[in-house]
Amino acid sequence: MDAESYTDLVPLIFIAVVFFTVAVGALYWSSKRGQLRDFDKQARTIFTDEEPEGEVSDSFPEKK
Amino acid sequence: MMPKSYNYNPYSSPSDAVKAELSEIDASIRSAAIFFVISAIGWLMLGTIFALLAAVKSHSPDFAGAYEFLTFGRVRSAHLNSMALGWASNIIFAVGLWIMARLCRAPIQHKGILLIAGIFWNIGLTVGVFGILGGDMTSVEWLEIPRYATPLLAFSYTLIGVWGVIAFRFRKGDHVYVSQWYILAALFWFPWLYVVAQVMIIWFPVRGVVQSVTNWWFAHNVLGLWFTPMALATAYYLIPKVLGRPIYSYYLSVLGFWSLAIFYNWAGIHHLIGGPIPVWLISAGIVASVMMVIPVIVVGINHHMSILGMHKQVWRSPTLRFVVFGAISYTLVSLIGSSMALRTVNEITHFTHFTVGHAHHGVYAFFTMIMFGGVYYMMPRLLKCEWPSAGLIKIHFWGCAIGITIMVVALQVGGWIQGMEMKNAEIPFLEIVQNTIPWLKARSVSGIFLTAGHCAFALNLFWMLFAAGALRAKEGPTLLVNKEKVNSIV
Amino acid sequence: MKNLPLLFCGIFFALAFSFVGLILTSHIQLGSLTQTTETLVPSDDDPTKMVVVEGDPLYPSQSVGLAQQGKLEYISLGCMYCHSQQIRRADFGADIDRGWGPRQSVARDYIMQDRVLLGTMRTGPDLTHLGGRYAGDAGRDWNHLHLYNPQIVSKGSTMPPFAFLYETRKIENNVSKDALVFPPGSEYGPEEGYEVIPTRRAVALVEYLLSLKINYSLPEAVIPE
Repeated sequence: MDAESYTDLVPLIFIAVVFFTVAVGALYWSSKRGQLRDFDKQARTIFTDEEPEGEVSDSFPEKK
Repeated sequence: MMPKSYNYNPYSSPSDAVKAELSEIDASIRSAAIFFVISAIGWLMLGTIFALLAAVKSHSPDFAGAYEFLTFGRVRSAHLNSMALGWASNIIFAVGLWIMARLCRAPIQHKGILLIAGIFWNIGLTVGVFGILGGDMTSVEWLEIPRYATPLLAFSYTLIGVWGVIAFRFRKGDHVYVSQWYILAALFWFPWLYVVAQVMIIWFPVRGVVQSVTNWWFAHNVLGLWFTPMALATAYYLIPKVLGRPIYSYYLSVLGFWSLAIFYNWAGIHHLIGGPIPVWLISAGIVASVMMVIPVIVVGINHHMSILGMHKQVWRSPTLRFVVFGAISYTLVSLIGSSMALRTVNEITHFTHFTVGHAHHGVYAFFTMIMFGGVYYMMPRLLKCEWPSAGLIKIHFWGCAIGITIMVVALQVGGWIQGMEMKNAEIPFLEIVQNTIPWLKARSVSGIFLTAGHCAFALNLFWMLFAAGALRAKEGPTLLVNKEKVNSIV
Repeated sequence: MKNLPLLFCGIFFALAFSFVGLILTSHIQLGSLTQTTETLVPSDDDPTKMVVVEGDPLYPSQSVGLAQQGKLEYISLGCMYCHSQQIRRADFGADIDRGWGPRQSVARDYIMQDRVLLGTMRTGPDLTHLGGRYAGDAGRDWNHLHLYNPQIVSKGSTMPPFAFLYETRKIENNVSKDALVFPPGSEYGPEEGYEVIPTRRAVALVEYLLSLKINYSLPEAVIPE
């Protein structure tokens, strides 16, 4: 590989760095906006009146 | 009656207009989900037949050797595409979209879109698989389907992806569950991967080995950004749902999701280690493959701690037998995979049956087992009746668990030996081939176990669908409610 | 994480990052590779720049004619799923020690191929340099017998038979010059009075196989003495 071909990559490396910064920025923004709090509440959203928390909802029948 | 902690949850809203019953949602997606389940099982059975043929041919090449349409290269590719696009994608559409609908807390709209998409998907795939056997395959791994069928697949997928985004956009309620991120992400990633790969390799081929780099970015990401997130979404939903207690650490699930998103899609280059591509690309792929340990351990901790203390309930639940088998397999196959990316290990395992064993470990022991579990949970809630036979569920479980274990062990031990022998130039190639035969025969034996499991599954499902009146079996699994509540069901 | 635009942003960039980093970079870095002569010499205008030698053949060469048609057969029958076409470097695996090729494969070796068939399985041997190991008429004959039924020349092989690429017909007057010559007393030979002739597909496929050769150096990959 010629060394020259690596210079062609500089614009792409630049784009990659921009993407990375955007990603980190988004993470920071989301944390500031409270997206990353209340995890306990979010974990409980799968339960409902019909299938509430605390009840096992699937099993083979008990042996008699 | 309503626990205080549910005040913010639309399910417990005092206003009936906002409250969305699970049973209502289930009813709205029922026909689409059942269509996809039936399609999936049809392709599973066809893919199993192709698998058996390919497995036997691998050690007994004269078996059905006179038929061109069944030659090993074609039947093996027909198997892969039937399973990857037929079984796996259809079951994702069934279970994944059902979970998405439930978590979006509103009965679904535009069910017709899903049905049309599903029909076109199956038509495209059927044409494609016949095309492979007929000799039109592309010989591009994971993209063997001929050009005349792939646009139909891309089109029907687009309909499904759009449906998923719309469902998410118009969700009710404030909170988003981890499964929804995984499903949304996968629905978005897959078409990007598929279209780029089709364009850059098949339609307007790029130069030389750039095709190979694109190919393995694509193929590995089908595993990592399509199958894996959908299976994880299912496991993250079902483990806490069945056990009735929330996931151990929601924070860990956020970490797991983003680390998977960042690292997984660089790992595909590990299929080209030692190959004619720039070393820096290979190194990047190896680093990413090793970094995958992070999300894998995170998910492993989360699942393990979530079931701590409830192992009995896990075993007693048909759903969780399959899901937890899958979750444990995820940790194992991923750690083995990260090791396979290390150069010293790769020097031995590359090009051998070890890789084939690893692929099945991931797609079957992890993905497929979890999706089996998803079907066992979903169907009673869609049809409002029980599975007819606990016995068939047990045959299914044991057939598949034993079968895949034999397969993975046989192929990886045999493959390791094969690789070690290949490194030694003194050993003639034919001798190495001969030494793999006992392991390949063990793989065929494993296929018998898997076939038995699949037959039990298909039988149970069709009995449930078409003999509904005969159900309410007192011996059947009580999957809808706890035993104590049986008498109070309407 | 409840915000759809934010979630979408993250999901998009996660894949964009690898798409740019892997696909676009290799497209740019490798897409500019061209054919070259086996060695380079300093340019007349600027001695620090290396250029191709005037009048020397350019490599890799493009596959044409019957060999190119044979490649379509290779693709259609799925040969790639048991055979690789890439030779690893000398101290990474025993590819060169096994005589599978005189040097490792590099990216430039594949630039003239419309479909690159690197392969990821070695159920059978690597084929990059098959035409170097089995050359000329002897190589042709070996390959036809091997394709017709691998057991004839590689007993114990697990490669499937491709007899459907051959035609068994009654001998008229004399044995055809294209007929396969079986080892005496071979159980795979045709009955008395019959001969086995390769169809055009088999002829093309064997020409393709014989065209697979790394008998040229490149500036970045020189065949050792």
